[in-house]
Amino acid sequence: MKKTGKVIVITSGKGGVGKTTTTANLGAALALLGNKTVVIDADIGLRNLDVVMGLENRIVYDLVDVIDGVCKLRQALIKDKRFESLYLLPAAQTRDKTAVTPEQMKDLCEELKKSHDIVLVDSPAGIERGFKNAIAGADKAIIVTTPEVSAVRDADRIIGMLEASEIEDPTLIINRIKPHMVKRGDMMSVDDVLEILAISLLGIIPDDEHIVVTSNRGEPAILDKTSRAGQAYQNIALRIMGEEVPLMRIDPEPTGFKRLLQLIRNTFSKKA
Amino acid sequence: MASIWELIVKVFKHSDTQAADQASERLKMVLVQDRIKITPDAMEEMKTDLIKTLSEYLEVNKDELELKVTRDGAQTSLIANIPIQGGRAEVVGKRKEVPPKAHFEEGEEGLIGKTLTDPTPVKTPKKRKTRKGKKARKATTTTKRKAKTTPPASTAPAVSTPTV
Repeated sequence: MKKTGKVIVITSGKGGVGKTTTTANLGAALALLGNKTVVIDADIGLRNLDVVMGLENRIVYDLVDVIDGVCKLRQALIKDKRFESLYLLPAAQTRDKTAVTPEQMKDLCEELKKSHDIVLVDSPAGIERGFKNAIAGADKAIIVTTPEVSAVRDADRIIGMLEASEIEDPTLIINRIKPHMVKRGDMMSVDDVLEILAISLLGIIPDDEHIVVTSNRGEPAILDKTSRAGQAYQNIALRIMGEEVPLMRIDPEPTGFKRLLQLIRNTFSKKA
Repeated sequence: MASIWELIVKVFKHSDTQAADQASERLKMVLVQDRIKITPDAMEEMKTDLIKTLSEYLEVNKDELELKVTRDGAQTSLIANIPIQGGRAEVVGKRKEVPPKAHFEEGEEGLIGKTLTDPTPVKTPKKRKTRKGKKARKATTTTKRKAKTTPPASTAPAVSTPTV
């Protein structure tokens, strides 16, 4: 059966803001919602999506093999066994960005669209060839940023470049918000960032230590019920599907005496 | 004493210049530079063209014309500060290119909807020139400001307006 899926690129300009984690979790959440989903690691030479998803031991062929005709597309797709319909197309680790052209990438996305509902492309950092490859076949773009000067500046540049490439109306995910810092006025708020970038907000993700744990284990955070970030990713997946989900309330963690009480309570409840 | 007080203030009250505000301000400044890329050559070319076009309507002070990019909130604008020669002008349409002595009759040369005006230059008293630097009228690229270049007809009796 032929599908006409959507290709969504996840990009940021700056590195280390959470593109790969976002791709892995949104991919899992969208698959959980019943979409046949494929996630592509477009960071050729620096592949990481495979380890974040815990699929690193199952790679046989990669994106460059598909493009070079070494294998068929279907052979390179790795099925994530924890989900009904989630697939990974890993990047090549021993090649570099120039192994793929934007035209080839576009063709690849077109091909994947025929058999999948959603194609998520994890873009590399930067604005060069790797980025151009990643956006080549995209219908939509999600920009990930954190509330930091450098990340927001780079996001602004990316917005300009997407506009120039005629990928319209990119949406924004603001990652790693630290509520207590925002409350103190030490970190830019969601509104501060939105005022500067002036694009529509897709979601906000609180800074969450669970993400480090789930990444270490190669598991998606959306399956961790205690993870606030995991919940935020599920909300975002619903919004991508067109549902209206209110923004997650991000309140500061209690401090001082209240924090102490909470710690004591948590310690006891864990033992119980 | 003072140092103890300072310590107390430091503990209970947060610093006045909030880091988040500083971040926002610095970002806004740096993005003005990032977002608009105009090479010095292109800027000069734009200036020349602007002077050429505006001169068809009024006499501008070419040497003091300024073009710059500014940002106000989410809006980035190209602001042109265009001092008007002599600080006076009545603009009802295009001027004649070369100020001739002849006074055109209505319709005589108005082929493409050009409004013909008596192009007698507006008298420019010398002393006004010295003030123009600061008092020069500002014309921006926004339309609401454009109106400013057209003062009431009564202020410049030197220009006669042909009735249409």
